[in-house]
Amino acid sequence: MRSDLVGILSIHGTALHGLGFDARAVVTREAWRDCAADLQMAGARFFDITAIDRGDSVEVILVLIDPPATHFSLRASCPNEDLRLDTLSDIFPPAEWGEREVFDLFGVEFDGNPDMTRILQPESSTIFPLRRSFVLEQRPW
Amino acid sequence: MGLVDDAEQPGFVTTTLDKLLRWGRSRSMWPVNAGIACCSLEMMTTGAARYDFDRFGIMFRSSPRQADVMIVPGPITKKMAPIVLRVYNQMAEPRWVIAMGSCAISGGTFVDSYNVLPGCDTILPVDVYIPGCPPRPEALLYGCLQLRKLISETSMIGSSRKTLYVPPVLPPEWSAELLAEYGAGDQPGYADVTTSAPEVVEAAYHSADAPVAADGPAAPDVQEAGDDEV
Amino acid sequence: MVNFARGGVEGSTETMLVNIGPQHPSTHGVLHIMTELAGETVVTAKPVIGYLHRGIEKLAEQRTWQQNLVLCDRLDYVAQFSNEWAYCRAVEKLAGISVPERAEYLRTLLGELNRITSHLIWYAGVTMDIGALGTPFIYAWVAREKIFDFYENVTGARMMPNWMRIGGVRCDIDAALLADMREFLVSDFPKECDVYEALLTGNEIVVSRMKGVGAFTVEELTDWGVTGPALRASGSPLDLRRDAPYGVYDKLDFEVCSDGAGDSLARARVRLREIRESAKMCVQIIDMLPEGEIQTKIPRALKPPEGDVCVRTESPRGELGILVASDGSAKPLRFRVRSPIFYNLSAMPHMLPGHLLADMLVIFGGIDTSMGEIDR
Repeated sequence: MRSDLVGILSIHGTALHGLGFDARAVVTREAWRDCAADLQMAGARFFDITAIDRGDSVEVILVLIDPPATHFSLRASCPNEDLRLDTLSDIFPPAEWGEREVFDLFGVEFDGNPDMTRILQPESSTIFPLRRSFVLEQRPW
Repeated sequence: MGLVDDAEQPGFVTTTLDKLLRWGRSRSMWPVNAGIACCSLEMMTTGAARYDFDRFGIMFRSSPRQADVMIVPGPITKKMAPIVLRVYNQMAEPRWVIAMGSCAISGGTFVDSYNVLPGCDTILPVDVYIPGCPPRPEALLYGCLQLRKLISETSMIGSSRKTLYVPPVLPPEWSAELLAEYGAGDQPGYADVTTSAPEVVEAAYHSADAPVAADGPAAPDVQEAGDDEV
Repeated sequence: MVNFARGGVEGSTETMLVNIGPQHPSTHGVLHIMTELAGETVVTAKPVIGYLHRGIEKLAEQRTWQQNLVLCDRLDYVAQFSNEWAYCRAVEKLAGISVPERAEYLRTLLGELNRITSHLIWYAGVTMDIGALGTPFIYAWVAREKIFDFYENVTGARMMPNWMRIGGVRCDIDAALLADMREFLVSDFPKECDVYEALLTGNEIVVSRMKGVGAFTVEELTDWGVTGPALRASGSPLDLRRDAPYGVYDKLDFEVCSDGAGDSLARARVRLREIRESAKMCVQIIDMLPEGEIQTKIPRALKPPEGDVCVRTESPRGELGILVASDGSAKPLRFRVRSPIFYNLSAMPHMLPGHLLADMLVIFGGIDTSMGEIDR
């Protein structure tokens, strides 16, 4: 992990936990966008954006690559009452689709994403399937 | 079909038109080139040199208008279902459907999912089911030969009209426009496009009150043929 | 010479919308591209996906860790072993399971053979798209069937092997099969590769269709999130097998195939060279294969400790990431697939504008889609 990336994280009030490939840093929702922008300026490459439902909140995970080989993740929690986060689609262009997928499956809305519509499910769908509150129907057999 | 022994000139064959049509149709099944999921790779393999679909007269057509068999090679998702139904309705009659693989038969591995229909027979009238995940090319060939048998045993005189198939139960998730397109109703059947009046066809397209045949395509065809003569 | 209209009618600002797919012979699955055309030129292109969304990520949360291998096969159904391997590596990392050496070799062997068959599917597809109906397609299946026979002899299934296990592999490979495969890779396969190259990069018509079409720089592609052979064709040396070796890649002598031109022809050349490199690697693995165990003992009800890990793998299409999260129970809390083609496809709206409609499918073929993994 390069020292300048670690420095950027500390500016935004967070630090890396864990070693090697799965280091992670938890940021506040306010610092989410600025921190990602600074990391992008310092040369971090986009890898993935996804989320995990933690029960009372949804944790959005941005996986970044410190070229060429190391990766680390930046995380922000959205409470269930207010599932909103700033978009990263203008900082990392591929994040546009990734954010649409998080919206489609978890219901987290990204402010500023140019196309905040469902991407995988049909547009008529009303469910957010990867939320824990959504339970699949049991088979009768 | 049989050779006429006492014909004055040898080489003549007598048959009925029905048998000739059945023979021709069963020996030239043209499936529409609709690869949906994993099974489409085995479908392609069957089309390649080692298994060679072409020797049975089975040739993939890219346009549904030229095809008469639809091989459904994969799970039908809720987003894909209206499109599969539309492709099927674009095919000319008579037409057949092969459900290839467990996903197309019942939803297979994904039967529990929130986005997969439990088998393509919920929206299409399936003639042959080929089990497997995915079925081997030999299994697909065997299934096609079963369909060939089915075709050569079914009378099809007069059944070449363009019709619209409306599935018995439409998925409730479909949007209002789609439900309107396929008739929001609960009645299965076909609306006959060639013999019915345009208003009737239009009605069949848009509502469930349209005259629909109670028992599939074969029965009304005979009646219609009689009506034409009168 | 006939001048074809390229920029729409003179003085007209009217554009035409064309929907390509989802049932279209050139889209390799159920992809839908909403294309806005001015004459023959693409103005905007918007891929619409989700026609094969089976909810694998949700289904995986209902099944135990071992059962999920079945779903991994069906993610990217062209590169099944890559997916299984990535998932196994993720769970092994999460649970701290080590893999016996022989199993690592066998995994790498099947992973590389899988790269060959996957690239052959690409080869068959891209040549069909640019109009070579039949011939290259039939030739691609020659080597593919041979390798599929090997899969079948080893795993019992042609396409959905379900062969790798968390902590090893399900069954060993017979020495006679390996010798047979080695013989094929050394003697017959290079000749097949010559045919493939002659039919694609050695074909004047194909070259004129591909050369200079869709040329992008490394910076552009990196910015758009493109990985894998499509990125390496622009000159990037990024390859996880070299940069962050897993399996036994650090013991193998291989070349990272990159090409400076960055156009569709370069993407084709890179993939064709990768086929040869993979065959070379397979021969090395067969020669080096050690004896020993193939499976670590793991509990029947595997319960990895709480936490989450992300593992990156070089799949035939790019960087495949698997993120698994556990809450300490027998079922995953989250199973996330970072599909390389999902993000490669998200670059399409940037890549396509300005190109001809006919070139669109050539560029599209250059990223080698497989809808099963995009939609999951």
